[in-house]
Amino acid sequence: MLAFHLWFILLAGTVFVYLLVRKLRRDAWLFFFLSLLSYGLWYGISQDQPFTITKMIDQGIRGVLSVFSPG
Amino acid sequence: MDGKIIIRGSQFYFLTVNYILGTTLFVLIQSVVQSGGRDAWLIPLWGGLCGVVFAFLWIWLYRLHPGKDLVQISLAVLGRPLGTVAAVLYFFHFVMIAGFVLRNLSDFLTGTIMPQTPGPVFHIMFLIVAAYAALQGVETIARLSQLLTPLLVFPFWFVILLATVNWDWVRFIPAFQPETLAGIFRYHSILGYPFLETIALFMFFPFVGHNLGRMMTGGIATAAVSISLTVFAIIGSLGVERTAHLNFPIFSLVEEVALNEVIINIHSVISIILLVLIFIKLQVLIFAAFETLRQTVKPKLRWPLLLGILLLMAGAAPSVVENSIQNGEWTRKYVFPYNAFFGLAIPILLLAVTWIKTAAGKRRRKGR
Repeated sequence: MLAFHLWFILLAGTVFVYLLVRKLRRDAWLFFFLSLLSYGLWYGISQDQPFTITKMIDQGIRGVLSVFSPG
Repeated sequence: MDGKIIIRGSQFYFLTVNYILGTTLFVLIQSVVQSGGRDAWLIPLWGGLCGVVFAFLWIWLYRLHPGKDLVQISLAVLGRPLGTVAAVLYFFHFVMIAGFVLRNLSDFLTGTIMPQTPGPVFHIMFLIVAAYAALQGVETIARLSQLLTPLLVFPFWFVILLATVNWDWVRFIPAFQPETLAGIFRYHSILGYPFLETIALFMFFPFVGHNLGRMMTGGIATAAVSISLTVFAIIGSLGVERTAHLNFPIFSLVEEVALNEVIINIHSVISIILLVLIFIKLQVLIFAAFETLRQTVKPKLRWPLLLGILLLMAGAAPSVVENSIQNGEWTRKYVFPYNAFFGLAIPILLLAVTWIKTAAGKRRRKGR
């Protein structure tokens, strides 16, 4: 678990800081956004409980359908 | 990736065929045979026919905005805020398809050849190689696909022909029964996967030289016929009952072939073909996802964006589905509506807004 946090933050943090130092703000925030999403996915994987994307979409579709269904 | 490189129509044709075949030959056959029984080989044919109609819609949209890809059209038609929302949705769609492709790859490899290797090892290795190729640009992707096609087609059909030693026509009898034909048209998942997933190739349209429409529709038709012939060969050789219970029928079919103890282990040929097809599909998806964000956000450097996409795709692969049961349920219930949102709803919206804008412009000009 610690190894996951170390390698991920080291990799993503280094690139993010590098981009900020080079004053490429747009690049830096785009990378930060993608890294943040990846971190969420990888965190679940590292805990052996991956977040299931299709389940989330399934729940979303059911939620939308329940709003429109009568009764 | 500067928009000046042109790929030949024939190269785009091969890219379309390889992209559609991608994981389809290995993942879809079991569920196709479960739904269509003895007449399951008809499913890819009607799916392909619908795929050609979808392609006409995309080409129509492209003709109204020549030289622009899907994201550029979204931004031009819907305006910056709504166009960005559409582009981000397409980005996540491409990442999700890539997640499915990688998951299929690791499921296949851990289920057949390398059961001890963790899935993320395959995901990361494949992503790095495919991303390197995709970074070289659209011309490299197209040329690589063209170069590899003969090396895929001839060994594939040679191996399938070898595997038909147990062929029995009785396995197709009785054919065209009303209940099996009804099952064929109930299996609408084939429209979503693989035919609506072809929307990713829209990102290549501005780079294609001539005969875009003919090459794309020809590619879809060729892929549909190839899948149909493969299903036909598998039913004739293994039968419906057996195929419906195998995870990878094509692999099992070829695995049993041994000719006079001289030609053995030919299933390794099929494994390599699968890996190459997955590689081509992954390249297209990485390119599509990369270009989507590049054109929306316009970053100065390319490599941090690519690194971010790779981290996300590698994370999406183990997270895309929980297990094969949940995957089956997803495929049965949501593959078509989910893909229809990206492959039909958004393009139709773009077409409608384009018409309204054109009509409003004409009326304004007449009014002056």
